[in-house]
Amino acid sequence: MSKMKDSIFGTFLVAFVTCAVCSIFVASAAVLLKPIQEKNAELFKNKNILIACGLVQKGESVTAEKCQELLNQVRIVKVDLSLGTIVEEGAEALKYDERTAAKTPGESVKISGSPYKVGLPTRGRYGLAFVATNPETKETRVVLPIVGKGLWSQMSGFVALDSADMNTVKCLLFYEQGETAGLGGEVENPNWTAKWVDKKAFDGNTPAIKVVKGTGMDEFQVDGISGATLTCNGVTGTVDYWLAQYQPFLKRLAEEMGGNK
Amino acid sequence: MSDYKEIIVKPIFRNNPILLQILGICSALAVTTKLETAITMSIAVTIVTACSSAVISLIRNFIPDSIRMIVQMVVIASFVIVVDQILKAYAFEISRQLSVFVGLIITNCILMGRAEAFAMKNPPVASFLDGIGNGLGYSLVLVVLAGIRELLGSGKLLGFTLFQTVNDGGWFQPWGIMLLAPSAFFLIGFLIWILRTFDPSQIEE
Repeated sequence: MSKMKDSIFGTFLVAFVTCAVCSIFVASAAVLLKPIQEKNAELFKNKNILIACGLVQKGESVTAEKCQELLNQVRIVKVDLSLGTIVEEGAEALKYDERTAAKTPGESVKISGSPYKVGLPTRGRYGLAFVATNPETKETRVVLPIVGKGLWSQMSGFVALDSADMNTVKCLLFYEQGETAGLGGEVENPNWTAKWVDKKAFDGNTPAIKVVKGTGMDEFQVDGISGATLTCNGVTGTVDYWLAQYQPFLKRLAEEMGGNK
Repeated sequence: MSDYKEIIVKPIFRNNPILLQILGICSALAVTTKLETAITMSIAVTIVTACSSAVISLIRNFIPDSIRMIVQMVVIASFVIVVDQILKAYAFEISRQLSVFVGLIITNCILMGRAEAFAMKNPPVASFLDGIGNGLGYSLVLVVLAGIRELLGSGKLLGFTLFQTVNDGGWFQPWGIMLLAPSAFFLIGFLIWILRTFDPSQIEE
């Protein structure tokens, strides 16, 4: 027995069997738990929409029912990005998944020639947007989903603008990213994203907000994260790219909301 | 039977993995700013140590010496990934707070240490209990550390306010250092000091 187990054949055999058994064990756990994990991820995403809308505080725990109830107060629109027109409205629009669309030929648009480095090859033809008014402060925000490449990973998040001028940033957050924990991963840190609040997104008609190193803070500049320059460059490119894509929509929305007043 | 009891109880005070063997310090610093994360981490480490020790012990007579450690790592890593998946499914918020540290249980020296030192030489039931015992020893230190750090660092325990902090209009000035990693070093040092005062046999020559 002991001779057998230490032979070359025995070593390979044990290595192979161990790997096979372990991989089946791990794979079945992953597959079985996937539906529950996806539900969690969706709830977490919706919660982040609500945080960006200013309807939920960061760190507040929200049940699935409460989340749905608050989400019903939000105007959800699906936007044709190049025209800026609303193509669908309401809870149905929420089913649109920009990420899947970006990978589907016919549903996607090639990203080329954009001055903003978003790091992705394609985007969906449509994009979602959320409009919500806080019942207490009466402040209305327009929330836009953003997605782009950091240093290692695809980062997903939301940026919220004040609907009064469609320019003042009210919230920025990332809910999904795989940057280096403790460095680039700090883009999720509320202490850092708080620095975006009240900065200006557009200089005239061009998206101008960016992350810079320490000095010369003006209304378009956000203090960067030390040790995470490349991730921060990705954040700048991502935010500015999507601001540019949504600009036609923001202009139409501003007219529409101005007309209502 | 008394042997089994001995195997479980001994690592808690007399042969504590953190306080005597000084293993698993990294996660003890990282996840103990709040009691909730510390408890989750403790449960995860205890389960993984016990299960992986039992499995390694079960196959100990088949493991070739040349790939001994790799096989141990594969078993440990599988359990860690499964625990991580379970946390993501049933304790999503906590698993986000623990972030990389659940995955890093793989590199926790306690697991490898128990596999090498105990599971390779003992039968499965004893190895399982040894894993539980060491997990509990680790958990005890984590929970004590996290309790002290959360209470003095933010005036709370498990998220419930016990000391009203100055910022919230109370009287308690939180100890900022308790939320930073170095405080765990000091506290572990104090715990070792206290333990060795009561049990001088642990003092190294």
